[in-house]
Amino acid sequence: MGGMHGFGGVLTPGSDRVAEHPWELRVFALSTLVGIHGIGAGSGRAIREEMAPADYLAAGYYDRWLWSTERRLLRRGTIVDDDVDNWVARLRAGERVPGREDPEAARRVVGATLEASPLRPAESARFAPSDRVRVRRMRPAGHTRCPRYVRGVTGIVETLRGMDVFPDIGPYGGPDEAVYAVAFDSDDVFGPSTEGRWTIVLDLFESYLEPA
Amino acid sequence: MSGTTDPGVADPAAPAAPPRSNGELVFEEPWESRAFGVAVALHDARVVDFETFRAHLIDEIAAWEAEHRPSAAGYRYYERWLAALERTLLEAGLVDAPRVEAARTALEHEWSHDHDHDH
Amino acid sequence: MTRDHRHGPDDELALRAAALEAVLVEKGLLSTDQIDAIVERYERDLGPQNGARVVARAWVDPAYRDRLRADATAAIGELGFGGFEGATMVALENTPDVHNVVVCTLCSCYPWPVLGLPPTWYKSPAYRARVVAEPRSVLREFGIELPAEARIRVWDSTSEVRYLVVPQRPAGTEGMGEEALAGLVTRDSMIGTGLARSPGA
Repeated sequence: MGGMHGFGGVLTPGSDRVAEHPWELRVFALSTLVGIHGIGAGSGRAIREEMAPADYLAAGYYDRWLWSTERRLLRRGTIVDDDVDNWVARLRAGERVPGREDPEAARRVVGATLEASPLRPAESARFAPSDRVRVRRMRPAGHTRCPRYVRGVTGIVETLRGMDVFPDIGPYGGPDEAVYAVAFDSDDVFGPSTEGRWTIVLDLFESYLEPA
Repeated sequence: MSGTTDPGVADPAAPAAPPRSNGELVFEEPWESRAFGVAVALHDARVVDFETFRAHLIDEIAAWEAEHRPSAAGYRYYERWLAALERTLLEAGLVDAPRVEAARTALEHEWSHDHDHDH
Repeated sequence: MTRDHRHGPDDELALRAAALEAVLVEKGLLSTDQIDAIVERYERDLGPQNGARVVARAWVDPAYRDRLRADATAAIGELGFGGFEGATMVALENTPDVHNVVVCTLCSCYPWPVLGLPPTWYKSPAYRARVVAEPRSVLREFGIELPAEARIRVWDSTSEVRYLVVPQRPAGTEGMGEEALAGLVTRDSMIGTGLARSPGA
């Protein structure tokens, strides 16, 4: 959405309430639960960007959540193509949504939402410990998590920290990326110092780095 | 910059202890604690992603630093926090500016009214 | 809700904060209780006494220290600490050869579950700019004069990872119990801007 001005936040600007209808909040809850139970595939945020642009812009906020939740479930194979349509037909024909009570599960889930989630283990990563990498000389248009003082500087990858959502792309962040602890020599960052030399270690997203 | 310049810090070399029992202030002003509490509560309630808020906080801090010399006095961390919180909520459409302004005006009236009554 | 009777910039900031809270509560997005509970938690419950227990355990128990090295989040979790702003922890051990110090140059990232909220100086533009650029000078201001051969590593918390420095165990503490040892661990020593206290100091 970068560069598309005039649309404001994804929620209708000036909207008075979080959601207009109860179904919208259920979609939000569903999306969260799909994530917590690991029955979807792909980051909800990135997939939302996959909608055809015209559909994306025309869809309401919760329409996009609903679309992306379906996509994640399909990708994972938790549901298959016709499952949702079949149920829609059944509901239209008068069937009721089946209910299921599980207070213990509910308690556990509420606890889970209050916890923060650690970095996910890295499935694949471009760089490995001891690789020499250079921080790209970047002029980010918007927000970035890459501090200016290391841009253009070469360092050594020490540790692969894990995967996290790339934070630079707003408003929902980008796809998952590897995060690396990269060590820089102070001489390379700031030039020679009367203090001698020291090491500065930053946790940097893969997009910030290129081979050196 | 050292701990001894912190208001409310008794002794930076003291044993680690819960702030209150140390006589240490976590927040310099009550409003700071409210701004803090609101931001964390929004995350807890899954209303706002804390990373979205953090991005705005980083940007607000950077904006202040771009406009002030490094040695400039008057940096208030929680003022940056509050600005970031306002921006996050406005951009997400969770609050709208006229409503917040109306609330502010109402509170100002209420507070000065109470103040007058104390005298 | 608190009221501020002084006149000055804090009045305006207090009004802005209170107005935001009022609107959010009015819309049913948050409750005042929720906010109160969070403030209470961070003013009363979370603080560096948590991290001090982790450090003391690592000092007395080599197996725990190894677990802390291998997976700090899990090891810290063994003592019951973790969660928000501490979901991915890394422990940095200070030795006679290596002195670690932590900063967040971008904002104020800090391991809340083990240290509570950061002190004002940690969040200041001065610390954030200077500790990466002239760490020895900064440490000197904190009263630390490192030997010339000690190598300094400055860790900038630019991702979700949160760092806990494990300071060196002071001399003369052999045979001390864990609780007493925890009493020697200062908040600053777990950021890297201080050393653990000596017994009887």
